Amino acid sequence: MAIIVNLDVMLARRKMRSNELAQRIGITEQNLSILKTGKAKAIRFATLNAICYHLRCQPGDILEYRDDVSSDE
Amino acid sequence: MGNHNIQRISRRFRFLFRGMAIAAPLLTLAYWLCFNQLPVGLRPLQPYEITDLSWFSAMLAFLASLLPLCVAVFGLLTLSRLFLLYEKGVYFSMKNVELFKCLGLALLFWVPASVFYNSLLSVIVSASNPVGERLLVVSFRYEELAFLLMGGVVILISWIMDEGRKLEDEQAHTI
Repeated sequence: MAIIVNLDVMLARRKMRSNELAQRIGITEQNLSILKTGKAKAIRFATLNAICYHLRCQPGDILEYRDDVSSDE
Repeated sequence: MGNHNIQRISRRFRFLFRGMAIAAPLLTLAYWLCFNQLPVGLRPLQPYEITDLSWFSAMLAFLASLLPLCVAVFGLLTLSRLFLLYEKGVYFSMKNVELFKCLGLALLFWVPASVFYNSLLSVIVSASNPVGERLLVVSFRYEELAFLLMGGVVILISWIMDEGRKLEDEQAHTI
């Protein structure tokens, strides 16, 4: 997928642990792990909104498009 | 209908189909062993008259009936495995799709198995007749047509199930 999820970078910048973020946004750690590892196929606006709110960032800080990464779609 | 009801009814169906898969070979064997004692109404419906059979002919008829019987038992065991998945709450997995395909194939394979069995049966039951009265009957009945249609429909449903599986997979990976 050409969309890269930089959630772990933002977590490191905000010095927040994955389980803490998962708890705050109301999803399971397993689902957050799916998102972090780029295995997610879609992200709900509600989830993105909650992540941006708790990490005090913009969607572009978490999601990135890279042209050089081959897309499987 | 809630999950609980689906699981409860699926369990009953699973036991029913498993029981039928076990009983079918035993009943078929008993049928051919006791063939001569059966009332005429219980004898196979054929376009020719089946008189009493010798023990050897009955055993040959039983062996011939193993062909459609194997297909039927395979179909019943497939249904049993499918309902086991429903019992576990698995509705749209790859396994469900595979089982639906197997079920469709079992229904389709029933047709040549049944046609071949009926032809073989006509030879077996008429083998002891005098020369000139022996038969080879090849028939294609409404029953076979119905199985052909059902098989096609079930295979189509398996493709639709596969689409459902993809949707569920996407749903599971939507965060």
